[in-house]
Amino acid sequence: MILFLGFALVFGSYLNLEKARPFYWKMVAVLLIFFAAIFTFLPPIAGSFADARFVSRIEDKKVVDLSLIIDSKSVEFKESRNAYYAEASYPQHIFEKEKEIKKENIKFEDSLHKKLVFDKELLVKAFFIEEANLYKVVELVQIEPSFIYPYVPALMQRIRNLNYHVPMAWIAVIAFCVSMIYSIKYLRNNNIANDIKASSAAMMGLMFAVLATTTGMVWAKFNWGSFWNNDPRQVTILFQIIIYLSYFVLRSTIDEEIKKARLSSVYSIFAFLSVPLLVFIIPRQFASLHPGAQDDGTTGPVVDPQSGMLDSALALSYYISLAAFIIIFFWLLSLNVRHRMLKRKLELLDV
Amino acid sequence: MYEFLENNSMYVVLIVVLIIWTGISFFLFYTENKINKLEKKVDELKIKEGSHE
Repeated sequence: MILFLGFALVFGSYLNLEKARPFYWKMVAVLLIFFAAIFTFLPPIAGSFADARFVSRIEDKKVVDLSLIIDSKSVEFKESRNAYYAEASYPQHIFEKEKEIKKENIKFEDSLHKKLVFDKELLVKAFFIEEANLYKVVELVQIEPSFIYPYVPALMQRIRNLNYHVPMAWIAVIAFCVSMIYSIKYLRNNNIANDIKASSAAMMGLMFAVLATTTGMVWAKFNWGSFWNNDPRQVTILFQIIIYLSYFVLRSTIDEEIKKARLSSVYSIFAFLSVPLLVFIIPRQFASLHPGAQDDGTTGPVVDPQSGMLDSALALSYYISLAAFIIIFFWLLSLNVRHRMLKRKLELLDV
Repeated sequence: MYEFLENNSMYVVLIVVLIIWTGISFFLFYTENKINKLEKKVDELKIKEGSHE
């Protein structure tokens, strides 16, 4: 993760933001947006047997999407109950660590028997029957799903928000960092172009921080009950927005160009000092509704409990989406820088 | 409405994605407007230069 962002930053600071983005850049952006959308919306969500068992304790006979492999040898028809009984196991997914395979008993009706395929991965709707210690398969959803998202009872489909909400916050951090880099460059060589880049980056960062907050608020309404919960992360991002808003207030109060550039560069460097504090330190010190809070060693509920990492399928789509937004960010940034440079050149001509 | 979104949580994801794309398109509209203004300015300058000759 840190490597990924470090690469983006180094890459970003060597870009010539005053030139048009090359053709390949735009193609990569379009492709990545396309894949990010596909990886966010298409993969089905499927749980394991343990998930179905857990959900049945909360709500009796609640149907859950399950991923399983039915052992063809174990299928048998019991006439007395007019149903098929079989043994099934949780499949080994790509990227996943090897787990101990434990067989569970399942039951399904005659009508399903023709549709089901044995010894292959299936995605089915099923529920757990506590008294009989077996899972009743109700419906077949998909045969051999190649890419699935984990089932988290509290999140359900909202797990897909991860691919869009989280990159916003990361890109705000990248943008503020780019702003600081160009502020330092300005103070070193007094080239006004660097000041333009710094303030453009701060503006983009502000925009992405606002997007992260609004998308977070919509998500919070459905997961935590209200739009604003005074969660540490919500409060700190609000501080972040206020700090960078005051950067633009400061800029608008000064008319003289050089003074404005110098003062706002110094302000931007100090403003960036607050970013690690507000994004990485303070939210981790308090109990929070966000994952990764105090006494929460994992990255949240969306994780594989064994490795304490993000589920691998989710991680892959998350990185694709993050890469897409990084490319879009530098594209928008260079658009903004180019138009402001043009404006400046014209002003100089006009005089 | 709230219940519908609660039960079909896929639409919450859709709302989140739409918020992001509208945010980015607002930025594009803003840049577009500014560039339009610049274009007008360039045209004015050209007229001025023409009158000098």
